[in-house]
Amino acid sequence: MSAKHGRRLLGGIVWHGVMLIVCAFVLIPIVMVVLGSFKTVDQFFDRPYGLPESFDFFNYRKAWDEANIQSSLRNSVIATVCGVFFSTVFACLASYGLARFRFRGRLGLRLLFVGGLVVPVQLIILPIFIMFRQIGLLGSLWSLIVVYSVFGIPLGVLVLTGFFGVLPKDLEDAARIDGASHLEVFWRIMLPLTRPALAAVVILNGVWMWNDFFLGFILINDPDQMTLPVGIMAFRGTYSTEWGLIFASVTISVLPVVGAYLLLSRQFIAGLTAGSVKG
Amino acid sequence: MRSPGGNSPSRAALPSALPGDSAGLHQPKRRSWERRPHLWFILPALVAYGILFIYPTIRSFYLSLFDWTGIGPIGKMVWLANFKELLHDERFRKAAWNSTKLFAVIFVLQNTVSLGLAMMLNRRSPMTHVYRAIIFLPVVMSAVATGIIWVLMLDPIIGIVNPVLRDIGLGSLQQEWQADPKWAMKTVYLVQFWQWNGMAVVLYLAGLQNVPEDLRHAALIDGAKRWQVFRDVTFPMLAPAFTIVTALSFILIFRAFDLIYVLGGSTGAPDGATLVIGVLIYGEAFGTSSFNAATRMSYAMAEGVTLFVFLAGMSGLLIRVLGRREEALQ
Repeated sequence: MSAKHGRRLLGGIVWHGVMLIVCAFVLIPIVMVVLGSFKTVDQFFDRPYGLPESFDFFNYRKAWDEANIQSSLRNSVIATVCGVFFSTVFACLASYGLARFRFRGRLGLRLLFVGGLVVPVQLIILPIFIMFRQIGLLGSLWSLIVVYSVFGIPLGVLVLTGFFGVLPKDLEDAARIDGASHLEVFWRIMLPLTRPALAAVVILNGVWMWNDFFLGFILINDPDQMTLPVGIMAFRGTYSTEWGLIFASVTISVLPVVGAYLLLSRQFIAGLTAGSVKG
Repeated sequence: MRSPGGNSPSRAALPSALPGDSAGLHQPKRRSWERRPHLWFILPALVAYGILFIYPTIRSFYLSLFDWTGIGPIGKMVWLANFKELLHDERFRKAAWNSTKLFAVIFVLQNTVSLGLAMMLNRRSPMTHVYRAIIFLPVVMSAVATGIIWVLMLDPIIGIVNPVLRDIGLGSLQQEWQADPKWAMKTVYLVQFWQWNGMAVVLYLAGLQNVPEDLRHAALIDGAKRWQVFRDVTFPMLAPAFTIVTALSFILIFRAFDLIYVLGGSTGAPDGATLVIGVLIYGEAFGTSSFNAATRMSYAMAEGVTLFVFLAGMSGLLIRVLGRREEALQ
């Protein structure tokens, strides 16, 4: 009895021990960057992994005022909100049409949308770059919003068609008999039922757009129009030795998404893995 | 395009779908509108997707047949010459090899470390959710943040790893992690795994939670050994999760750009050691630096088309083969 008890206790200690090591592996690099954001350049050399001398926000103030973080933050919010909104509207409507009606070419059309997931962004952005350059859209935040609004469609369709497809047909029929139009059935009855899937799509595309560097890097070169990842990389080139400044901006850029994640970790984990359910 | 109300997306988006918006894609006859209500729903997305996704994809196939720098008028058509050149291009081969190695290493780590962690996490404890949330955390962070975090960790002067090694008396293990061609790609493996481990753990954990507890207990009571239970009960039930984890990391890694660009720049520093296919295409299209601004747009598109065909073919094959495996195992 006591031997068994002892073994269980030992097992528990080993389990927590392993988990704590893994968590340390995840958290230590993040903590180091946050600590770094409070250090002066000299302190990086004096105490590379030690605490900063004081928790003064001078790097943050400088990043905010001089390194364009203020406008980058605003641009990131605008691009993400608009991109998520438009791509979700597109994906939602299309998924409803693809999942709730029987017609020829339905599966082919769905494959056309979802197949977008295997198109490398590096390839598709090149003709878009050329197209935008011709029509003078290149360089503005709008170019990025337009691209996000469309590039979010494949994932949205992948998640939402699966969800719309399993809603009971009776609900729809009852409302149709009462004289509701297809649009009313969609808007009043079906859409409210898909709230969990909608949340998943919003989180999935929102996290992706907030974090995206590549598309913004290609399409935007005006510092006032840059999003956070693009802006940070741009002044990493300019202020390459001002480590504290760079880490302060990195901290600012991850804070909104990490904060939201900590509040809603269950929804985030469900949302970010939703694209992986079999489709 | 933007709706003034904002709270009524369906209505705002529909008018743009009315006939007259001729994107030329699957355009139906006008009189059949009433009989085909699904088109009202699909058309807004299809028009947008057609203009900014399908058309550019087709156009990149077309432009890959030219000899064009990307600046000025489109050059002359050279048919498949770009693709022929690709076959003998040292840099393309090296980048393809690096991408393949990255996928192989992550594949092995996912099916040992991540799977092991998922199995450990598959138990009831008040701390399970906390550990799971921490392990998943890097997935929500941007690749730029992740890259910069690890540049700090590995920097030989101001970094964390080298000073710690030095101060605990293991100074001989210090390396120029990112500048040494021997270590640079290994640091990419490390950082890539650091960022995406949580995804594999959570997906495997979800798979494990589908394995009924009683089934395992029954097997144990029948005298099966623990590893036999894993092999004959748990592992087959994990087949769908294995498919998802493998296909997802395949697509993510072969399209990867952000993280590796932050770590190695547009040339895959040092000396092409961290050059992967996604970064190579960018450098070819836009020039690798202000010193080497020679752009080869059409050639970059040929590389991108090759990658696309490879990805589409391999993802299809992967999902098919692994789907059959799932059926066979269950």
